[in-house]
Amino acid sequence: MRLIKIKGHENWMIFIGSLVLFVIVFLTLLYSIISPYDPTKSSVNIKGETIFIKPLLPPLSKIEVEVNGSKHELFFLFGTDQVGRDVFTRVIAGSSFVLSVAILATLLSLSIGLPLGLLSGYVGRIYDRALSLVMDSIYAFPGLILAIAVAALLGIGLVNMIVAIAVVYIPSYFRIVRGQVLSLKEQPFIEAAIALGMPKTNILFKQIMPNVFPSLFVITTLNIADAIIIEAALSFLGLGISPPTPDWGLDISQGKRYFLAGAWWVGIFPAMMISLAVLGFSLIGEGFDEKLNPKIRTK
Amino acid sequence: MNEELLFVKNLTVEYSLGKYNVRAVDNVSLKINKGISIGIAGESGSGKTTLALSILKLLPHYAKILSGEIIFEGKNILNLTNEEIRKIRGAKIGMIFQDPSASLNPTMKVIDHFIELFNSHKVNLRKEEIIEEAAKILEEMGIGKERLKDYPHMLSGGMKQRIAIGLALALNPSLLIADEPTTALDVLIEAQIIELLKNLKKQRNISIMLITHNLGIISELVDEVSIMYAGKIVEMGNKESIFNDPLHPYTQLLLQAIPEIGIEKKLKAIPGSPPDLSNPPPGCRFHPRCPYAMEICKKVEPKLIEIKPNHFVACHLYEK
Repeated sequence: MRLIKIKGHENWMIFIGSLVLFVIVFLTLLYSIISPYDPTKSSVNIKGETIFIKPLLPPLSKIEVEVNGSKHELFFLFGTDQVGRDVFTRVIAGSSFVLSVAILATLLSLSIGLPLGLLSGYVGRIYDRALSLVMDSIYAFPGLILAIAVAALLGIGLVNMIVAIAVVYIPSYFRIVRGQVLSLKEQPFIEAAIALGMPKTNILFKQIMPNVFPSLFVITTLNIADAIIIEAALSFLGLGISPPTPDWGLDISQGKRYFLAGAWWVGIFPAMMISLAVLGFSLIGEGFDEKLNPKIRTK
Repeated sequence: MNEELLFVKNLTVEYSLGKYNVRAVDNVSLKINKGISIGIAGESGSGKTTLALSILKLLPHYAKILSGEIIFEGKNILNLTNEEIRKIRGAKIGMIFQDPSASLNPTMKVIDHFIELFNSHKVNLRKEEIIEEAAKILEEMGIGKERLKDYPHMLSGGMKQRIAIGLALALNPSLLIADEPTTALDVLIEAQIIELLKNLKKQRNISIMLITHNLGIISELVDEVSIMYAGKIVEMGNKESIFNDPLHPYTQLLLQAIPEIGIEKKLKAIPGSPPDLSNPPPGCRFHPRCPYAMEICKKVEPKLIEIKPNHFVACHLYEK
């Protein structure tokens, strides 16, 4: 007997994407329960005694320590990094930082891009020309380079990083919303709403805006996936957050020095987590894209 | 009894399309009395829809009203502010459109359309009262009230048009403009919608301005008919008088072009095509296609004259 019935490849995409994200979020929320280690410390407390952990232990290492005469076994699933912190703990603790930066940055762009797009598409005229010019010039920059420039300008820190990433995605929301409003404006149901005497603001916010939401949902999930990569790149380049905060990009950049020495696990596991998180959001986004806009692709 | 509801006086509407201008409605005058329904018939591009849209000031931005007045309940609509005209739309003049499948918002339930409408016109009703009112209207339109919770995609085309009519009539307007309300529907549904409009006309005593190219539904529904050709009214008057004794050659040809079931005859099409309105022919605009065209038709534009009581025609054949 099957517990869940999933038909159609787009539903599978959404299902697998959600599953991946669920596992990541689940582990992140519970990492302090699952793991006995602190992601920012190279020592572990057992019965009031501080025990330092050896650096660069390979994955699946087991070491035994004696505390007050009793033996304890310490297990490192992904090994330890260059200062003796547990890589597994860092990797799952890091996701909370990465995901919140990516999600907050995308929501910030949404909250700027949506009203600007509505204004540009609905009111038009000089607003449309001016805003389109600004947005197109932002859009012309490669996203990562723009984020680096803004981040370098603002300096490191959580808020600055969110702003730097948010700037990149404002044009994508603006363009989508503007385009949709322009075509929705000409729809017969909008003409009918005008003929029924509805005020202009109601037509924009109650008749037009809800019709933009499905595409906004799709583009938001895809943008989050992209924002994770940019966040990692900024941290990798040292423009993100300062150590010892657990962060995937930061850990890759530190781990790359030990790669040639054979300690591949320090950098590979954070990189794997980036891929998984990006995959999860992309699958959800693409899945919903096909579900909501089935006409785009001819099957 | 003969109280005037709407009076369109010498209305001229022009579309500016870059290089050339198109006069879609040219010096048209029209009167609708309270409780009287009129039909406006003509080929595509004859200006019927433009005429209807100008009454509610719904014309696209590239259209310009060059001259004329539209007097509704004593006020000239063309002089009203946007806010004033908004209060008339939906509340005093309702309008329904051609394509019912697209005239409801896909993200809103049927009931939300009613709530939005009532709120837009500041009708002081609580939500439960609006629901009750909407249920009553739906029932009048022949739809069960359980449909209030449905989204538009769950409804058939005929149901959507019934709901669109219900929305247009919810605030008891005195005039309903119906722009080809049945063109997108199949014949059976068309007959039901016409029957519905007929009953509503009787019960609510509203005026309907029916715009269509289908003379069949005009004969079913209205009291008076105006025939438009190339932006002008060529014949207007009492329905019986026009259908039994069409005077203008265009009307005669139009009536002959209606197919009849069971009678095997070759369908008579009107030769030629409607004139290019950016460069209309001089004189009578119908003369290039008219079988009775005379020399004067090419030069002098005929005026609308009353031949019989309440039967006007613009044709040189009837001028003395």
